[in-house]
Amino acid sequence: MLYRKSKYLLGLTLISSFALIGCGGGTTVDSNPSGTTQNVTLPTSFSVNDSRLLGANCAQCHGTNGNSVNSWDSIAGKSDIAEEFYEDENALMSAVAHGFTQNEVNKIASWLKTLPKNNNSNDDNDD
Amino acid sequence: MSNKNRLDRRDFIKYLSLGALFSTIPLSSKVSTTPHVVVVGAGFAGSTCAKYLKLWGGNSINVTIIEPNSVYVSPILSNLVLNNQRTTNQLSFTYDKHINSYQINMVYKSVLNIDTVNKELILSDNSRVKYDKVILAPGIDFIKTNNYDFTKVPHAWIAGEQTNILKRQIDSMVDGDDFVMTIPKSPYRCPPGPYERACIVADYLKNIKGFTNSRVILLDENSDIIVEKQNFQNVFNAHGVDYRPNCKVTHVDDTNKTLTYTEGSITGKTITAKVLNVIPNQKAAKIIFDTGLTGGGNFAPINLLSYESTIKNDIHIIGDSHHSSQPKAGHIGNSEAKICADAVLRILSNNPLYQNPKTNSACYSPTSSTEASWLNAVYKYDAVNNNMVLVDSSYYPKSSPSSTYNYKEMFKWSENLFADTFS
Ligand SMILES: Cc1cc2nc3c(=O)[nH]c(=O)nc-3n(C[C@H](O)[C@H](O)[C@H](O)COP(=O)(O)OP(=O)(O)OC[C@H]3O[C@@H](n4cnc5c(N)ncnc54)[C@H](O)[C@@H]3O)c2cc1C
Repeated sequence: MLYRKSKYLLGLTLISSFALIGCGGGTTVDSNPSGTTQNVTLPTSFSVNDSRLLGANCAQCHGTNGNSVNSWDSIAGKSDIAEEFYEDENALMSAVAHGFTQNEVNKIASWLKTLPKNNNSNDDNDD
Repeated sequence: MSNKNRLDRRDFIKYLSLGALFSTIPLSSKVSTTPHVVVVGAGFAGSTCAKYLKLWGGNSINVTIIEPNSVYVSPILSNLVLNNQRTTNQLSFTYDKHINSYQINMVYKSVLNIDTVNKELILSDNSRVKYDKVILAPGIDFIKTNNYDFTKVPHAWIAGEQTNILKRQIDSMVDGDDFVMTIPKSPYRCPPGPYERACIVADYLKNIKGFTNSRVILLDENSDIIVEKQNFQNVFNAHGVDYRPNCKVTHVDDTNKTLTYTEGSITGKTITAKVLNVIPNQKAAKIIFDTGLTGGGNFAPINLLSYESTIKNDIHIIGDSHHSSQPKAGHIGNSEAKICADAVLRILSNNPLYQNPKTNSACYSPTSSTEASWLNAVYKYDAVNNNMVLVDSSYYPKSSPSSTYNYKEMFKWSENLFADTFS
C-alpha cells in the first residue's frame, strides 16, 4: 500500500513543496492571526458535526472557533449563549439572531461550550 | 508536457482503481491514499474553504490551493483607499498561515482548464494536477461594452493595482473636474459597493479636498438604488451625488474619457469627465466558462447543499462565480465556503449531506471618512427550488444607517472576517 501511495503522489511531483501529511496523531499548529499563540489541533479524521457547521456562521464576527482577534466578543467556551442569543443589544447581532431557530441556537451553544478559549482573546462585552 | 509530470498509464490505471475503492471508504479508516482536494482561487471563498477543509478534515485529506498571486488584496474596505483611510498594503494578505498552520500546499499558478475524464487540472504552464475533488473559487469577470483599456478607465472592482490607478486618477482632479461612475446591472459583486463608492468619492472631493465645482455623477443601469435606498439617498443629498437610474453604458472611449449610454428610452447620450470609473456588468470568472460550467447563463449552477456543479461531477463552485439568490460578497462567500468544505468532507467519507444549511451576509459600507452603514441577511436552504433564500423576507435584508459608531465597528468586523479567512 505504501508503494501505491508513493505512486499516487508521483502524480503530484510537479508540486515541489507538496507536504506529505502523516496519518499519525493530530498536528498542533499556531493559527492565531494576531501573533499570539492559539493552539489548534488538526484532527486525524473528519467527523460529522451539524452543530459545528451551524456555529461556523459565528466565526466571521467572533473569530475562528469562537476566538475573536479584537474587542468583539469571543464566544469559545461560553455556556450562556443560548440564553443571550436573541437578547443582544448589538443591532447587527440581533439582526443575525433573527435568522436562527431556537433549536439551531441550542445546537450552536452546545458546540461553543466545548471549544477551548484562547487566553489572549477577548470575552468581555464591549457594547 | 513532460511525462515526468504525469502518472504513466499503468500507474494511472492503478490510481484510478484505488480512487474508485477509496472514495467509498470513510476517511477515518486511514487508507493509504489520502484524498486530494484542490481549491482554485484563494480570495474570500477559496481561502476559507481550504482552511476549513483542514480544520475539520485534518490529516485525512491533502489540500492544495492553486492561485496565481502570492498576495491577495481585499476588495472589502478598498473604497477607503480612495479617501486615504487605508492603503492597499493594509488590505493585503499572504497565505503563510494556510501553508504553515493548516499544512495546505500552495501552487502559485493559474488553472487553464479541467480534464474531467482523467480528473486533472491543467495549469498555466501546462503541468497537470490530479484531484479527487476540485473547488473553484475564482471570483468574477467583466462583460465589456467594447474593447477599451482598464488602466485608463479603471473598474477598481478587483482590488489591488486597479484600486491604486483609480486613486491616482481621483487625486489628479482639480476643482471643477467631474467624476462619473457607472453601476452594473444586478447581479454584480457587492450590491451596496458602488453606491458606497460614490458617497466616499463625493465626500472626499467636497469635504477633504474642498472642491466646490466638481460633480460626482452616478449612472445606474438598475431602475433604482438596489439596497439601503433611504440611507444612500440621504448621503447622496448631503454630499451632492447626482444619481441617475436606468442608464446603460453602450460604449467607452478611453482616449477622450467619454461614455455613450442609454437613459431610459433615450439612446446615444454622451458624457465626458476627467475621471471615468466604469464598473462593467459581471459574469463568472473565465475558468468557469472555459470548463463549460455555466449551462448557458452567466454564473455556475450548483447543488446548494454541496456547491457541486449540476453540470459536472466532483467540481464545486463557491463565491461570486456560483449562481444562487445569495449576494456576491466576501462575508457570505466565507459562509458558503464552510458549507462546501463540510459537504466535500461528508461526500469523501460517505456521509449524507447536511440538509438545512444556513449562510449569513454582512456588508459594511463606509460612506465618508467617519461614517458607515451596514446590511445583513441570513439565508436558508429551499429544497423545492434548490436555492438559498432569505430566512424571513419580511425582515431581511436588515440595515443600519450611516453613523460614526458603525464606522468604528466596521474595523472590528473586518478584522475578524479577515482573520477567519486568511489566518
Ligand atoms: C469596493 C468593494 C467593497 C466590498 N465590500 C464588501 C463587504 O462589505 N462585505 C462583503 O461581504 N463583500 C464585500 N465586497 C465583495 C467581496 O470582495 C467579493 O464578493 C469577494 O471578494 C468574492 O470572493 P471570491 O472568493 O468569490 O472571489 P475573489 O475574492 O475575487 O477571489 C478570487 C481568486 O481567484 C483567483 N483566480 C481567478 N481565476 C483563477 C484561475 N483560473 N486559476 C487560479 N486562480 C484563479 C484570483 O486570483 C483571486 O485571488 C466588496 C467588494 C468591493 C469591490
